[in-house]
Amino acid sequence: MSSSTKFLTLKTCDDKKFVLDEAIAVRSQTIKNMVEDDCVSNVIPLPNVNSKTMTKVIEYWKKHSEEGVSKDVLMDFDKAFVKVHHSILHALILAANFLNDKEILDMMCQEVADRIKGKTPEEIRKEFDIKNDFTPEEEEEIRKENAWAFE
Amino acid sequence: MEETHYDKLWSHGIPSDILGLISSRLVAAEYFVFHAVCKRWRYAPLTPPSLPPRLMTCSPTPRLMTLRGETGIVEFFDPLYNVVTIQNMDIPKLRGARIRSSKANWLLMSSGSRGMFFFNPISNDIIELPDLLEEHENSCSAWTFSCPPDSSSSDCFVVGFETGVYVPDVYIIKVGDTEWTHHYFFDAGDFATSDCNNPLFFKNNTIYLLGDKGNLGTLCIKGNSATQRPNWKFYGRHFPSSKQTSIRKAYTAEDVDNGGMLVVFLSREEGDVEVWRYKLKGKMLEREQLTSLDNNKTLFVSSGG
Repeated sequence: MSSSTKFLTLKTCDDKKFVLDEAIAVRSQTIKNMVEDDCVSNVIPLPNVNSKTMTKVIEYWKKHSEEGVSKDVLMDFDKAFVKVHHSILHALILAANFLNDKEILDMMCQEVADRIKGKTPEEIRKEFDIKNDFTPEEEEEIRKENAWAFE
Repeated sequence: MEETHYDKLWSHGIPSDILGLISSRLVAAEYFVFHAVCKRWRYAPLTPPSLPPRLMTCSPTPRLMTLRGETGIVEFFDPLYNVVTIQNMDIPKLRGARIRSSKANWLLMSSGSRGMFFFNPISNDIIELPDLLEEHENSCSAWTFSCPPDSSSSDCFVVGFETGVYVPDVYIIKVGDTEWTHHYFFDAGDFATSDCNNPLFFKNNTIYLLGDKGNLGTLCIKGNSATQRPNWKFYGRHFPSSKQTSIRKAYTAEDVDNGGMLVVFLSREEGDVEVWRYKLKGKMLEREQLTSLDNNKTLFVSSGG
């Protein structure tokens, strides 16, 4: 076994290539499985992830792999990391899901939940650009079911 | 590209199991609001595929268990998610039985006119108690017990109260005893209880029982024994009679932070609820109506709970 660093090349759906230390890339369970099953040739294609999103993911991986980073620094980093437009949150969730990185997925889902808390359905739609596809009758029905929640 | 197709991202552009992951981080009202956002969110899976660990460990959310007497089928209602799950326990002993009190996964059950036993719905364990005395049968409407019946560190007392217009007579057994003791209380004082059926068992072998007039009765078990005559004490002035008649139902719960009791009064007026804090200071009962619970707390109450 050589102790030298092994590098992997990841290719996103928009054909951008990322060269990354294998020890960092295996934070993705999906990539880890590929490496372990020895089905990694030269380039690992990531057909579901674009380069913009992958850049964010790698930024997170690198920060969380750095040695000697204090907890507080990481917490500040995470706080800033999730402060993004909802479309980026969305892309990160799908990427984390595809890459099978539970840490990022959990953090992103928590951020979405935090943005939902304390809002009315209408405010939530505005926050996430969601179209209200209920008829007024359906909406009334839903409200009635758990009226106390909408007070 | 910036503002083109954002409108479908969170409705159609997200797998429903991820919506489940998100909604599992919401509780109570937030959760219902989530389901009112759009159709896709409405039908996101109700039971999240993996509950975040913090939900499992630090907040074991209470569920209301209802036993359908004749069939032995058990319903669990989760008040946070407004879901009922039905379980057929298939335990013959549960048929026709009634839940009387609960504590730490254990239920105190009665069956027929004299049968009493403990049932643990998690492990399905049953611990039998001797039959109640023939001459009294089960005339108690309120029951409580001190600790889990399989506790090794302290004795488990089971106490029943014959509630009505006078100071309640009391049934007591210590788990392990072979027979129940029935204690009479003629002329012991001016105290009646019928609206409330969940007495609170405190660690010092003292039981709090709410009186119909808003006062408090405490029963103290003596000498760590069921056969010694326990001691009733009564505290607090009566509520004005107009208030007394307006109370339809009362529930009590231990006020863990303040070492007393919280009382929830349901009024005869639909939807009218009051919460009071009862605390004993020496020989005096301090009683105050609360406008909010501390620290964003939620209180769950039920009969026998």
